[in-house]
Amino acid sequence: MGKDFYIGWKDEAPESNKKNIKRLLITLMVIISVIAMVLVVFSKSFTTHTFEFGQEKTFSGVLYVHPFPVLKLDKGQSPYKGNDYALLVGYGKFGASTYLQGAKIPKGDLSGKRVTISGTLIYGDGKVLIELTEKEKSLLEIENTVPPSAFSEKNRATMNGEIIDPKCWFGVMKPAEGKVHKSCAIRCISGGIPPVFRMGDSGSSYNYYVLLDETGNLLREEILPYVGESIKVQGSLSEINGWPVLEIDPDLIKYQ
Amino acid sequence: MGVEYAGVLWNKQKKQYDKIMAFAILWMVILFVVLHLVFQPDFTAETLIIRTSAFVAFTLLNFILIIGPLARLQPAFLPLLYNRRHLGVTMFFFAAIHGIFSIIQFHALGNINPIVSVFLSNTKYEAISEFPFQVLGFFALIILFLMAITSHDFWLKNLSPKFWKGLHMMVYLAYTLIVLHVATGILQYENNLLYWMLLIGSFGLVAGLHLASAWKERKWRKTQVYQLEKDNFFEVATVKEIPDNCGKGIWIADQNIAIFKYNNCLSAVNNVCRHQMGPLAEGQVVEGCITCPWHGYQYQPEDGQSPPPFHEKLETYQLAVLNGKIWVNPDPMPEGTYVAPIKITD
Repeated sequence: MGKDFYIGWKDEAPESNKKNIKRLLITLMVIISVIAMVLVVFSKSFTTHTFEFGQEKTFSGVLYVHPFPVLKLDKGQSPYKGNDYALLVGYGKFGASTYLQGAKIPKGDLSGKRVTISGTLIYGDGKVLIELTEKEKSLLEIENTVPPSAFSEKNRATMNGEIIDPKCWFGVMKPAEGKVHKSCAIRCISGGIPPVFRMGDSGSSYNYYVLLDETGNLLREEILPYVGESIKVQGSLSEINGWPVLEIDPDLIKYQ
Repeated sequence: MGVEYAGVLWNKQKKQYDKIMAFAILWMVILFVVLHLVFQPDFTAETLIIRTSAFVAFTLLNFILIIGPLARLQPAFLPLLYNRRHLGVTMFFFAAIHGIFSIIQFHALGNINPIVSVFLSNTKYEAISEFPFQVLGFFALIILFLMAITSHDFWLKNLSPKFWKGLHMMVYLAYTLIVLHVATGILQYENNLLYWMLLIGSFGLVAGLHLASAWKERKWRKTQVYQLEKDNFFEVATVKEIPDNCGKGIWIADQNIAIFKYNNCLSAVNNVCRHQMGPLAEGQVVEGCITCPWHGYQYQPEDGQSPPPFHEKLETYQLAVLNGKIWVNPDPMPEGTYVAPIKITD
């Protein structure tokens, strides 16, 4: 008989095989452990944004529907002092508008009315969103009418940044920017979640603006090719229902 | 070898193999989760599942792909090959977790079908860095799925070894797609140079070992130059150079032949195992049968038939010995044809 010969269906492998395999596996496990360490330690840090998944709560305040749905929360309900304006988004990758229009309780024009809703908080970087987790059933009560919110004055501006979907960015997904999240953001914005322009470079502090067209309506399909990319936009800055907005001509968006 | 098909024909070494595999995978999962808890505590559960499953699947795939050339270059690593199938199916399981969770996370609950969304959300097919990398992963997963569901001797037999081998060679296409999936996906976001070095390094290791193994094979074939003596017999070796119960592979007239020396006799059969095309000449004669080094399939040296009740058959070849030199006729006899072993006389 020649040298040691391994046969899988025999009970024992030759000692020389055992020794070599053991040595190889230990070496590989050490290398793999180092690789795992490198992958985790050197990856970009996740944001501290929060999605209170599974913790549905009741919120009350004044509802504004146009051009995007916002609930001005009653005092003490926002996780951030000084920002009571919660952007409303739908369940999954949908905006909240459809659910509000489809709610079963009698309503008429909802804008400017006091409402009670159920939903799940999403918050980060000073911004607040509420997911209408129960879809049409999220609108619980409508009370008396209050005066509509005032729109602020407009200023022209040019800025660099990225179009994100605010639902994922402010807590539902991590990471929720760039190439890895591009498809998801496209689905969310296509489904009616208001597109948000995040101004600033990675690692710096950001400013956020809901993107509208020049007639004041939410942008959707027109801006999908630019979602998740580094772009330059120019338009009119203002504030609507507590949220900074940027009205732009999507044809003037430029890649950086 | 098994006569009947069973889910898994367990034996002691397969159980040992699977235990080590389970331990290694568990270690990778725990390590990856603990490292996140320590260094990236703000993760979401979905991201952790997607990243951990990707790490385990890609690590296993690289390991699976280096086993073949490693065993060709150094037979001491043959035990890794024996139960590679279980490793492959486990790797698919983790790849499927990664793929399914990613599709649910990034494409489900939207305004179009999630599978359609994989192809149509990002439509920059003309770009390289912006290419919709999910599509590459999707097709790789389909290939791995086809391989996983046919990773059984039932399919090997029924699809024919040639077709089965061809299907399973698609792992190289899947691997290429996955490398591109990583390069055009996560590495466009996590653009640290270290990550590129790891990806290129793992690809280089797999490619390098395959090239080294191919180079060894090519070098061996180049030495296979024999002079025709007469009556279509070629002088190919000396009796002394083949140890007892061992074989020598030769390549002549487009025939891959294994010559075995056993019981003071010589016999020659086709060098390619009918199971998974293992190199029989690198095996040994055990309990009177040529035994394949890859999975232990056995053949009788004198007629190339697997011992009853098995049915595999190899072509046999005529040999002659003259003055301590071995001569072979490269015209194959039909599979399973008895050729009287040549007695070795001093």
